[in-house]
Amino acid sequence: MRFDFSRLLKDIASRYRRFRGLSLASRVLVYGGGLALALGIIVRLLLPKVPLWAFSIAPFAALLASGIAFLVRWRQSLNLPTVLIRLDDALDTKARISSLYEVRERAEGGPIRDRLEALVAQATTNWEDGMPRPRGLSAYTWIGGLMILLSASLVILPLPALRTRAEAPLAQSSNIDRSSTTIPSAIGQEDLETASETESGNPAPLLPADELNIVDDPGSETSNISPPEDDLNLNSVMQDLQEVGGSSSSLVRNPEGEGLSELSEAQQQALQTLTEMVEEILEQMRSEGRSSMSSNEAEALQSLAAETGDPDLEDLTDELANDSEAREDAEDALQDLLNEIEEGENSGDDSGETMEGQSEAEQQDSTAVQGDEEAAERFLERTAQELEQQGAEDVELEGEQEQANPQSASSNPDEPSTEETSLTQVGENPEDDTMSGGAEGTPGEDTETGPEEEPQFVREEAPATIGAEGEFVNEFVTKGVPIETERATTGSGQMHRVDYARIDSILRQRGLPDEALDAVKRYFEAISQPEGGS
Amino acid sequence: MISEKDLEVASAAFQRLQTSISEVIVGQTEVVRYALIALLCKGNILFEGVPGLGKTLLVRTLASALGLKFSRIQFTPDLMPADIVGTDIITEEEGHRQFTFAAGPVFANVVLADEVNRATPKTQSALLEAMEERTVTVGPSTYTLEEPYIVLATQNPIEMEGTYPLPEAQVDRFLLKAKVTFPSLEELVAITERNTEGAGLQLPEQTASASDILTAREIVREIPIAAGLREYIARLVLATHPENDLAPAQIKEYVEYGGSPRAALALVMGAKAHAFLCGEINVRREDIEAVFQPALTHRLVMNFRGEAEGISADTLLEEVWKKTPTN
Repeated sequence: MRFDFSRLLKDIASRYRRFRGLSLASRVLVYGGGLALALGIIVRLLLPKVPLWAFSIAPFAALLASGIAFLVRWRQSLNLPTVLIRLDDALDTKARISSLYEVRERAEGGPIRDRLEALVAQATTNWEDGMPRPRGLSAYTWIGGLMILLSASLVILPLPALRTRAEAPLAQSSNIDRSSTTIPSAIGQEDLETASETESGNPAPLLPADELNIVDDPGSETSNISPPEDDLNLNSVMQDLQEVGGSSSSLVRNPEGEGLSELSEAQQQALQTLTEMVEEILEQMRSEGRSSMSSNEAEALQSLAAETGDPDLEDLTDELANDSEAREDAEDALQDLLNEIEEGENSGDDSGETMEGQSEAEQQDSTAVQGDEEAAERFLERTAQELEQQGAEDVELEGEQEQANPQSASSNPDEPSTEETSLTQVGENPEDDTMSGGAEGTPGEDTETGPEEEPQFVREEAPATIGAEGEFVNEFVTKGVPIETERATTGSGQMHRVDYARIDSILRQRGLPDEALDAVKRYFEAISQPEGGS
Repeated sequence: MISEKDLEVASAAFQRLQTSISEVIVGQTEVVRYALIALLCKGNILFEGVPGLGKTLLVRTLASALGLKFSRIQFTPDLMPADIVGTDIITEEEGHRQFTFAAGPVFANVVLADEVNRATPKTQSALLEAMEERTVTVGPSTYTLEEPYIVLATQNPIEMEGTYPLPEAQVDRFLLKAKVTFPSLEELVAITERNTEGAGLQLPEQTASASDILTAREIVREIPIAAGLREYIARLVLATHPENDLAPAQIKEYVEYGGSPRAALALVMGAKAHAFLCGEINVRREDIEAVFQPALTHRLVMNFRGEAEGISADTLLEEVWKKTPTN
């Protein structure tokens, strides 16, 4: 069989290119894998809100870079004479392979070429030995692959940080769905009843708990671990503002900071003033027992934030001002509504049987306008009944919606989301309706203490503890529970959901005047705004 | 185009040549090989060594084994160029007088320029044309020297008083410079034995012809050298230049000028001839190493510091060989 030197050259070039590409690719794999792993760990530990799919980017990018590196090195031009002389050295063939290549390039025949071919044919029977796999190729590949796998497996490893991350989409979805907001029902239904009975003068919910879609959610860790949105109230905004103000003031205090050079003196002064004002407002709020700041204070903060030129600060103060305004509007609207009801009661006493003689439609129209206490109670009872009837239908409807929204459903298949749990329990626990009775407030009683008095509320967040049976023991006292009321405690971690769309439709069916309708809506919006909370 | 037969004949002739020379010259294997390399490469060689080491005997033995015309020129300070190349003399023939060229000793196949550094530069330069061009110009006439032609010059490193060191231009014409070292104990015993007993020292019979030499020269030129080794040789030569990045620190410190392109040619051709003499059909790294020092040692020009400190060119070349990357 004739020795085919051309084929040998092709094989040598191919093997060299392959090993060259693999060598670089394996190194890129190691570095990329290490980077992906480090990035994954950092993101996993420090940035829990990053979605899970983002974890696949870094390993994929590392693999892609490795592949690209291989292709680049594979396609790079090859200096074959250098490769051949190295192969000669490795095989100790005394430069015969490269010499034969030279003779062949010169297209010369003769005895020298024949002898060289014969010698090369003998010497290259195991030429692969002279071009072994690059040192460390396997090790690099294994290490790189392992790191890629590890970085990819960060998604599926059941680490605590990941569980927190799994909650993020739920929280985000609840942020988006403003029509359905959860409020903590750490205050049990019985406690609410007790509270409304003992402190009848304090404002009670206008609608019964079942109409507000109040459900028990003891199995939901989400409801127990993460604070509900309503608890992200003014104080949390203030806290954010204080942090921003603090970091800015630290710049002022630290003249050697790099950021200082970027700030003008006016901005520095504004920051300083803003920080001090925030601290003063917080102290004043604490001393007066307020849970919100006045509109004047918010406006002052807004103007100071505008002077700093920091968009974050401006956004924060804007939110704060809006929150405060919304809160005051809601309170004003609520007060107006109560006044109207009171006036209606008085006029009902005057007209006597006139009210009873009205048709049912007229009664509906006049319920809110005249503000008759009994009429209001009847209105609320009917509303509760209708909500109860619609509850089962809505469970089916929302179940279908959740099937159409796999992201929230697939975030953590083992744990039902807050919505799932609450809706299911609405359908499964009709006896929860009994809880609504306690939550049912009597507007007449509100008028006894006088709506002008600003009720003093306590907001407390007790850290979640785990009970003997594995349940979460929380303590929340939220708006709606006056400070004088006996503190409600519960171990159930119940959640109250408010479905505004449903409330709106029911109120419209009841034929409430627009003013009263808006007042009721503003009230519930005020108590359910996440940043404005109670 | 050479044939298989040419290859075999030439290889066999030079094997016989080496054997016959080694029967006369005790030791000095490398020096003999360098002389043959110079012969195969159409070059000249400069032997350096103290008197009495057998330099003249080596040249005579080589000429005898090759069956070539041999001439010896003893260089002295009063030697004139005409004494080497020849001159026109007036001759009378049939009553007519005319100038006739009387060829000098340079007209031979093997020329021994003994103690070449003792003649004046003017006389030394008379050899330049013969060494490089293989021609001699006298007056208006240019005469071609007969091939194979080789000049083997010797110089004595001691007794430098009254000598004229060869200029760089002339030194560069020598393909190789071989140092004739003192024989070892065994070699010295063998020398005394061969020269003092029996019929005394006998020059060898002719073992190779001029045509064998010419065929071998053709074969040597055909011997392939890998491109990687060619690059390696270029790097070696460049490394002898102090201004080059490849040069080791000692070269930068002690060398004024490095090897010329002629040095690279000498390395390539010398390596090829060395491979041929070793029975190989391609240049190996060992062949380059074998001729590296003799091809470059006389081409390094030391600077003042190198001269003052007595730095040896061989020491610097060893450093160059070690530090230059192979590929």
